[in-house]
Amino acid sequence: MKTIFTTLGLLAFLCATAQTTADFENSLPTLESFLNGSDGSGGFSEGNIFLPNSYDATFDAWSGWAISNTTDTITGSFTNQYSSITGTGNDDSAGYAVTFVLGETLLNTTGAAQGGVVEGFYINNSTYAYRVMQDGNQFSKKFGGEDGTDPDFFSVTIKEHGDRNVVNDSIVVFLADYRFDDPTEDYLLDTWTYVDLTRFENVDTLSFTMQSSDVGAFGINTPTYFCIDDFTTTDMALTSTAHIPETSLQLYPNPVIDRVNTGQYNSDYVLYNQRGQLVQRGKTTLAGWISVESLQSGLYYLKIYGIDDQLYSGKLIKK
Amino acid sequence: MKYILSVWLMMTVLVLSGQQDSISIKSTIGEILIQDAPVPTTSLKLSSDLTFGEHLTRQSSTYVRSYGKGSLATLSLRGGTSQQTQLLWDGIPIQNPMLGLADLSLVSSALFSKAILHSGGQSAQYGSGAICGAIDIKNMASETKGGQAGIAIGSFGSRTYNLGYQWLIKKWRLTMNSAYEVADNDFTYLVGGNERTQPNAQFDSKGLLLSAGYQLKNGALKLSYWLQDIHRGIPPTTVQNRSEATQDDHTQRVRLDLKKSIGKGKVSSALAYMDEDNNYDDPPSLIAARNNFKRWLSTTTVTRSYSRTQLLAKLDLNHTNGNTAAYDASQNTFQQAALYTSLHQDFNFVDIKIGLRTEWNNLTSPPLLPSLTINHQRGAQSIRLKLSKEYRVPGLNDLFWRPGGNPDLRPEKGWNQELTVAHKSKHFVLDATVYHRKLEDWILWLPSTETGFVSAINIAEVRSRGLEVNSQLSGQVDKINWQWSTHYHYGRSTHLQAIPGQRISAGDQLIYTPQHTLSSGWTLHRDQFSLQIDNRYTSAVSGINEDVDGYFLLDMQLNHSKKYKLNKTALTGIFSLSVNNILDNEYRIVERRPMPGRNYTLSFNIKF
Repeated sequence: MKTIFTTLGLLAFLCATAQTTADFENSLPTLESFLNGSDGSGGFSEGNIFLPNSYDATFDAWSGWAISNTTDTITGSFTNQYSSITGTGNDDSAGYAVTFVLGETLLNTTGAAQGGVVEGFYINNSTYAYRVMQDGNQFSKKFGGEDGTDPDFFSVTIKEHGDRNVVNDSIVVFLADYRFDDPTEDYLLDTWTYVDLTRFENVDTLSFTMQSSDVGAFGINTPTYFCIDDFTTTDMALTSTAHIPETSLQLYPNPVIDRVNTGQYNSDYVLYNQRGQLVQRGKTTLAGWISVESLQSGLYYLKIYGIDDQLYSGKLIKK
Repeated sequence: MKYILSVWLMMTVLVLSGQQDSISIKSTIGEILIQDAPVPTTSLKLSSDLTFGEHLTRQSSTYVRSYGKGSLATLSLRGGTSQQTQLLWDGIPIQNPMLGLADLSLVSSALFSKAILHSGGQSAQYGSGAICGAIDIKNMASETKGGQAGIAIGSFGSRTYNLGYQWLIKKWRLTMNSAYEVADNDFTYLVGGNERTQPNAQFDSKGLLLSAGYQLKNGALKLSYWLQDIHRGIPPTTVQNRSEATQDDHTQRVRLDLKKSIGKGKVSSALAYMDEDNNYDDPPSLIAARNNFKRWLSTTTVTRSYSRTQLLAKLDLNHTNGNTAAYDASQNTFQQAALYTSLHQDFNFVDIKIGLRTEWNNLTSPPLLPSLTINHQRGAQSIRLKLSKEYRVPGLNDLFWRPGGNPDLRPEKGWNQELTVAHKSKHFVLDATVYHRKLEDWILWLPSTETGFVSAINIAEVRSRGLEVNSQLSGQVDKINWQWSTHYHYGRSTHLQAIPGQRISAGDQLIYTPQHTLSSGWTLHRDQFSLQIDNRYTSAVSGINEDVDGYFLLDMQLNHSKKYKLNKTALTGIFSLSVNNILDNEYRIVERRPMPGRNYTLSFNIKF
């Protein structure tokens, strides 16, 4: 009898769909504050996601993610990098996350959510980007251009990186769209809007890149910021792709100078830095070696998808 | 800083104590004592009726990137950037060392009488930033006491006042020049068929230049003070709803000059101190940027002439402190010492000049800068070949700005070659120059995924080549004296490689670098009347975001002069009417920055 209950309980546990939402409400002790990685943490863990951050103490500059509850909905300049255009998070909550995308921003699923389904999240413009698109500044154009008819847009492309870091799918979200035949439909997003990601079934990492019609010789002129909130993951996915349990790698030499042996032959691997940024990917050699000669000194995380379909991971120290 | 003062004082003492009976020199105050080897130069007459940038574009083939009257104006010579042409105040560099460029709007043309444009590579003589040439502004002293005053009223609320006087008291020569200019600058322009009025473009500019010169035996000592103050609104672009930004520039420059002839040698020495503020405020954006630099400069030139040989040695010292919240206080100083030596030998059929500049500074490793000039003259014709190494030290912002400044930057450098043929006769002057220049380690600010922000890097190689032609024809028909001058430049300045991740491909022309610039001017003079007609053509350029169409401008000025007598004092009054952009062409020099249509200025100047 005990065995029957145990089995039923286990089945019920396996079939239950637990969800975790990162709401960014508890990270900031005071109002009108933000975390931009100046503590050297390299990122923020919220719910079952990790939001990598790159902070340079020399220049007091950051990219990647920050956590904020600032409320300035007016100031459209870099002096106001951390505010959403509503001055709140989703559903009038205080906290939210904001990203400055320099090339690409990553977001990793962690714990029970790793490799599973991401339900979705809410997205909104930052005040900085919104006001610049609305009014223009000395470097960026107001959307619509001189006579209001330019077919401008500002968008985020979200890509799913699943097993073996393969890009499976992508979604484009428009934070501003002035391309409609009927100009009254042109819009700048100013409310928290849900982005459904359930079609991403096997998420290790999400990448975010930004596109704008306001592009100059040296890149996008529109400030590449946006905000997210209430990021919901499915902890125990009931989808076809189950979470792959990880096995520790035996790496040698470690610390390493130029190449490391993984014991996994001819297998796909990805290497992340401490900030969660993908720094290298490839295949191990037939003898299981990876060259890390070009990496800077520091701590790295290695994931290998073994030829036995097992996921292996380990920490690597580059001298 | 101490070492600059010490060296300068030491040289001054040596010069003063070494006075000997020697050749007399003519009016050394305010003149160049030591002339360089023959180089193609254009002499520009300056006056209060036009901005310094307008004088340059009308009297040369220089391309001035102006954001509008009273606004930022930078120049491009021979396909270079605004950081590659040096601006000098009588031999002393006055570029902003933080930006590495000169804002021409900070020079009141009423304070100076002329500018000498030295085209082509001048790094060996003038140091960093003279890759494409140098422009030297001067206030030439006259031999008589007297003064002048003027007032001008123009379109868009423009009012200009200037006053100058020179006193000659025994061995003293005291001069004062002042200028005040104010304008609403609220011209209208068309966008998509709709008329708009430019807001927040007002400016007022004050300039004062004082000097006290004392005639020494075979030399002169002169103390000069130049104050320039400009407050201006930064108007919105055509794709910006509004702007409340303002910029205030306050510059003070003081210099002490000593010029002496000693036997067959000549010494010219100057010690200068500059204190310049550049403040930018944009209240809605919560931006209040405060930038200041203080700079000590000293330059001492010694020449020794023999029958056909001239030896020259020039020592430049520089101590600069940049101050802004974006710098680390421990990394804001630039110190430099440079020695330039040259040998100029005149053979019967050719004269040759060999120069070499060696420089030390605390931030970069400047290259050795050799130069060779060969000049052959036969009657009215001459031909000149010049080879020179050129360089530009990064600006303080390039090195220290946080974030993005890169202390590991190398100087931009490369070789310049040019060939000039010239003809000079009484009524016809012509010079034509072909040039080629290849620069490496070109500095660009680009987004970097490595650093996480826009950063300065040595990334590009740029090849420039082109043709520059200047001509002047003059004559007389009946009682009408006429003169026709033309300045043309064709230039290609192209990237040799694509810039990774940017919209710049190999072979692309540099942004804001026109292939063709042409300026032409007619002057007709009869009795008390003169008529000046200028036209300018600038071909299309690519901007940062969009292309800017080429444009043609036609301007005219009618002058009438009349002599008066007031209590035995002879006075000359000059009435002028200027009509600019007569054809009322819509044009832009900088993308998203409209320029005014037809506009008028009425002025009255009196000399006494």
